[in-house]
Amino acid sequence: MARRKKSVGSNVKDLVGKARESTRRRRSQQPAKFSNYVFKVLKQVHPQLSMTNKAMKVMDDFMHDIYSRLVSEAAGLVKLTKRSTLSASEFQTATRLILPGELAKHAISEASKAVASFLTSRNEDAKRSHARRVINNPPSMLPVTANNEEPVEIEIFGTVPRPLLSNAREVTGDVEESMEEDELENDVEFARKMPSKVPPMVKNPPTENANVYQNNIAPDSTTKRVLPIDNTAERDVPVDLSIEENITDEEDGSRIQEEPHPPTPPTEAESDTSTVAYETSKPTEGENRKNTHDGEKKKIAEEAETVPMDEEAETQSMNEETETEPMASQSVSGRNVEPNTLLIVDVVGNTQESSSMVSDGSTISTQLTLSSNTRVQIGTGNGSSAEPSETLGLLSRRNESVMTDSGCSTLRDVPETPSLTVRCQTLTTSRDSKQIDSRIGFGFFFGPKKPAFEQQFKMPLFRSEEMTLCQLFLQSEAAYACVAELGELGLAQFRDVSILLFKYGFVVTISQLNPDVSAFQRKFVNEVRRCDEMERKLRYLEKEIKRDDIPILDTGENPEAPQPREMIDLEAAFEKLENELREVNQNSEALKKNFLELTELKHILRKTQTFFDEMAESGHEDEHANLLGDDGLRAGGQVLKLGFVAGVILRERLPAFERMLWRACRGNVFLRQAEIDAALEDPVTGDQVYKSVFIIFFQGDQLKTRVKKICEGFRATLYPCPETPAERREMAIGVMTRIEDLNTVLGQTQDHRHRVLVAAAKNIKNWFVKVRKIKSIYHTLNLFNLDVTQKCLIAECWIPVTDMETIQMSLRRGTERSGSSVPPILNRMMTREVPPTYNRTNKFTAGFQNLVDAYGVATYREVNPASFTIISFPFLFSMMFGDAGHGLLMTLFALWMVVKEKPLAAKKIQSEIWVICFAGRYIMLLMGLFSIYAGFIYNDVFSKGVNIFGSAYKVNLTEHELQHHHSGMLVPNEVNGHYRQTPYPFGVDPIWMLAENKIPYLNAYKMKISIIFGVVHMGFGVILGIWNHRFFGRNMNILVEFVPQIIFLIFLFGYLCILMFIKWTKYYAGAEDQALTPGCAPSILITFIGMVLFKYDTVALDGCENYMYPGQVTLQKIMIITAVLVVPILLFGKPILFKMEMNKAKNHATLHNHNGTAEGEDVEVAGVPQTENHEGGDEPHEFSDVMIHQAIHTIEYVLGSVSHTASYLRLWALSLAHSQLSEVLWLMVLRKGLMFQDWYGGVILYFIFAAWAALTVSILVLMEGLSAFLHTLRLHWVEFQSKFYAGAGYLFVPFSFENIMEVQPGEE
Amino acid sequence: MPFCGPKCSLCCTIVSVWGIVQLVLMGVFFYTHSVALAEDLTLKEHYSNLDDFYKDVNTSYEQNAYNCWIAALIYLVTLCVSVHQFWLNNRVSYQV
Repeated sequence: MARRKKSVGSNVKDLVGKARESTRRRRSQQPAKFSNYVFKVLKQVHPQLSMTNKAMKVMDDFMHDIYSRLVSEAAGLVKLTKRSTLSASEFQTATRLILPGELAKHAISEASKAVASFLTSRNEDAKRSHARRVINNPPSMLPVTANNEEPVEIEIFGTVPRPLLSNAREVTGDVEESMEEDELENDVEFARKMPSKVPPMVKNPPTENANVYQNNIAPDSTTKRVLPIDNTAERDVPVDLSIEENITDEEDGSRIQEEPHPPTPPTEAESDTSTVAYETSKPTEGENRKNTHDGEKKKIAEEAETVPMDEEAETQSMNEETETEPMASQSVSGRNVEPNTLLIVDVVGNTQESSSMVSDGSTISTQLTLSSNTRVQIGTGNGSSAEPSETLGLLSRRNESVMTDSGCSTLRDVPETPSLTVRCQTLTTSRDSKQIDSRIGFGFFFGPKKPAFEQQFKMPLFRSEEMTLCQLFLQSEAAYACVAELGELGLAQFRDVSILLFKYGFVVTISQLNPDVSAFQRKFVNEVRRCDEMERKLRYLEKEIKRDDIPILDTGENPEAPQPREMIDLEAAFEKLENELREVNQNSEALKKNFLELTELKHILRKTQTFFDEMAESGHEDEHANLLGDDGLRAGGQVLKLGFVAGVILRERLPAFERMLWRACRGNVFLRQAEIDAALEDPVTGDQVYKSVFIIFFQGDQLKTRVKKICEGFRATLYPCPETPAERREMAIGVMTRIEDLNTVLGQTQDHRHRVLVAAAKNIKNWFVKVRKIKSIYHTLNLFNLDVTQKCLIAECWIPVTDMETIQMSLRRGTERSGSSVPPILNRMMTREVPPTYNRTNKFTAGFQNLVDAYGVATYREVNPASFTIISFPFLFSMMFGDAGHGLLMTLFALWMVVKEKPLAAKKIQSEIWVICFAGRYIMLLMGLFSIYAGFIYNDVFSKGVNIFGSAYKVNLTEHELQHHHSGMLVPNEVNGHYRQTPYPFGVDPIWMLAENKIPYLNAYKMKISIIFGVVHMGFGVILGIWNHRFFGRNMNILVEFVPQIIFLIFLFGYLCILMFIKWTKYYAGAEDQALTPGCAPSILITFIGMVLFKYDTVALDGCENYMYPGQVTLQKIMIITAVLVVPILLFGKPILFKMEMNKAKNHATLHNHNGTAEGEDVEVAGVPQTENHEGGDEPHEFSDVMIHQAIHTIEYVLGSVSHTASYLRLWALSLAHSQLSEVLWLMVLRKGLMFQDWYGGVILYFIFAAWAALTVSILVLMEGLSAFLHTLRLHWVEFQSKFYAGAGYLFVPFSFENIMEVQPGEE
Repeated sequence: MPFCGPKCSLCCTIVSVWGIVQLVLMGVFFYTHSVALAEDLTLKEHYSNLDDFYKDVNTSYEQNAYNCWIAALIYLVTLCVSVHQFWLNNRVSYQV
């Protein structure tokens, strides 16, 4: 570039021009010297090397060249895309285009690093200067912004000037300005009422200002400010102020947001705080050029008791506003309002008069007098955010009568008399009936209620997310972009909607799944088909790329879903590529065929020449001579002329061909053949085939036709072969030249094909992602319902309640991107359908959740055992897999997977075993760590004990015992035993590993701890049931189900555990009292059996006592009787309660009626498979049903307790098997390597160790590990989860691009 | 030139590392006359003399220790070879 400039300059030959040129050159030379950098890099890489000046110059020129190429390429790209600004992306693309693959990646990453570090250094500079400014301005006054640099006054209400508001209500108002001047008076009046004043505000730092106003493009955009209210100063001055972002949307300037409500226990109908958002707008004096307005924020704090909630709301709103979107939030809390009722009123525009609200428990009406351009937004307050209000806001503009989802709120907008009445009535009756239901305990209402203790402690995995069914109204133009955004987010599960049920003119109930509408009747079928076509083309491309062994560039980047119009470009691009490729392929195929023919001909000429030469050698001068010799020919009386055909045939067909010729021609033909050494390529399949040249001599035309027919039959290719040697030579030369020509043409074709494919390989992954995204979006859009006007798409989706905000945000983003002005509407719906189960997991908990889900997906919002499984699963596993050595191996493997997580995940290995292992890497890691622990407890490291703390035994063996290798029994006896009376501090004493009574000792120990942990595990499961009973409002179930169950378990098996502890602590070796010596310790099992059978021995052994403690017989008898007596409670308690409630319900006629209507609604949605599945099972309606259900449940529990307790003995059994197996392996394999008492023993040990290691990994770690894993899984699924877990839910499967991308590669 | 493939060399590397660690430790334990390894000694069925017994036990402990270390040394060689092979394999695959 510099050179070009120079030439231009010299052409002008102007003095001034020259001067300019020289300065330019100087300037361009100054930064363009790369020698310094080259030198630096050189020193970094090779510190000893140096470089000559010439080499440096070459390097310098090289760098220049590269940069100028980059610049020109980038400039070309800008032109190509018809943009006017050169951006970083152009440079990146240019780099990719110019530099080869790896180098380009490297260059881009280095450059971005450099840019990033440059930017951060600049930012730090800015921060430093900013900090200086902060020091100058006291922080308490800092964060208020005013573009016009005028001080703003902030004032606070001390009292509420609205008598109609119920007194237990708190209003936080955010005042928004508009441009009307006449509102000023209002404002002043308003301000007069404010008692306290805030100190004047200080201009906020200019950097923030700049940020804020960057977004502010629309001419009539408004700026709002929200004051985070410090609730410690209830009626006082707000301490801190923050900047609100701008609203660019001209018609929708405000949004409402609402706080989650505190839980209402079903019995408490009232005393609920709800919130009302109230917003007025007024102009302020200092409006700047950009129409940015100053805002004021007033807080009305009336009651101290509502303050904490207010604080929550404020912080929440504050977060949202500072972080993401323009949104103003206020809340008015009202008393005596049910949580699921309408409670948000948002007024945008001008209020002539203050609003009024009346709330009398079931009805709230608000009366607002409004000017013509005012909008009122009403929302329902069931813990959701602004979306219902927006519906109403929209509809109110159309002067429609509206009912919100929660019930029957009506909205009337009468334009002539600018007043508006909002009335809301909740469906009290139907709700009541549901509450009755839930109080009875047979069925529940899926409302947002949580027990208080759960709200206090956030336990994310404890229950599945609270879900809500939402209706989504999207403008047709914006639908695509919105769905794309939702796909990136992956938090909404769309349902197939076809028929919306209309009631009173608007949507009330859920729509139906529609099995009748076939795939062709939907709206976006065509688009989906186009995507399929594109995918097909891409697959074709991919196949071709793979055929040429071109590496496919996978940058792992995730391009955004392309715009619909981009789809056409993509289609065109793919079409072009495919056509080009097909053409190239066709050409090359034709060329190859040609080439093959020529090569075959060449071979024929060459081989036949040898035949003819041979003949010539054997005395026949030319081919005219007959093969049979002169005599034979003369014998026939005439000179015979032999004809011949030459051709090529597949080598494997040759024998059959020869035989056929012989038979068909009765031996009258003569065949010579020669193999072609080099393999030939079949042009169609591309395979390498071996062929043979043959030449057939025959006499007469009849034979000739016959021979030709046979050749045809055997797919042999015949070539014309000239008869004279001269002609043959000539032909051979011609063939050779043609082959050479063809070779060059073929090479060019191949090069072209390669170029096309390499270019495609760079983008193909990206294209795949794009096309799949488009396809999935249209697929989702097909599930939507098109409304009558065709302007709006209606969708229904399940979404997590906590993510409503996020979804709103992304919907808004989608709308903005599509350029649509109509905001999307997300409307919460009430449904009796059971929502899907969604457990938010991370990479650590996901594995454990999968273990639980494999048994059955949790019923919606029931206690999720996954969080407990995280500890109990590895623990129980380690009890069976207790060997520190094997545990270490497992830990190392899992650790490797965890550490190398990202590179391994990027490899996308498809092997099934690997996928399972990798998905469970965190489970394996924990299992390994726990096994190491258990190994030290059992004192097993590859079946050898480790003596860390010094054994507590001192073994004295007699001379005889030593001589005969007796290790002897370990007797913890003081007199003749070996015990030092202080136990080994951790785990099993290592000396047991050598003792002859090792197995009996360990068995007793392991059996006991198995039972103890089993009972604890099961008891924990039963206790978890309480959380389920309480959550679903089945409080009586605690009494009739939980209490009998836990009594049964504790009185029988809990007591068994207690007996074990008594035995462990009471009897010891060397006790002075003979009754306390180990010999007198009773067998726990016998004691327990005796207890159940009421069989007590009267005769004790000598010096022993029959019972472990006084009163044992009485206590045991009482416990057995109690345990038996609770069984009838378990059996009949629930059915009897049900009967009583049924009777009560019958007496209550009204309630019954409403029950009927509720069921009527169910009928409407009948035929929907989902509803059918999820209704029913949990809500038995007949007494006999309940009775049978409960009888089964009881029998299952009672018998289960016995069998499950025994089942935990598998912990002992597998642990025994594992330790014995590893000991056998050591004995039978590794010890063989230690038998040789010479140096070569080492070499043998080398091989034997390898064998031992292989067996250890394959048998002990893999096989035993798998079996222990499966047994642990069973213990969790059957023994633990059967105590509380229904697992009757269905999984939440959100529409997510991530999932789609994950699934698709597996299908290939 | 690589004479065993990437998987083979990786497997050998892992086994050798394991072998070195375990055999060196076992050698140390034999050398210090660890009781836990007493079962792995090579002794006669019956001894008439206690001194013979002790002598055999001591030589056996020592010999086993040396054997373990010899095996560990061979594993060290294996490790070097297999790491080299692994490296070669990796380099080859990069070049392609």
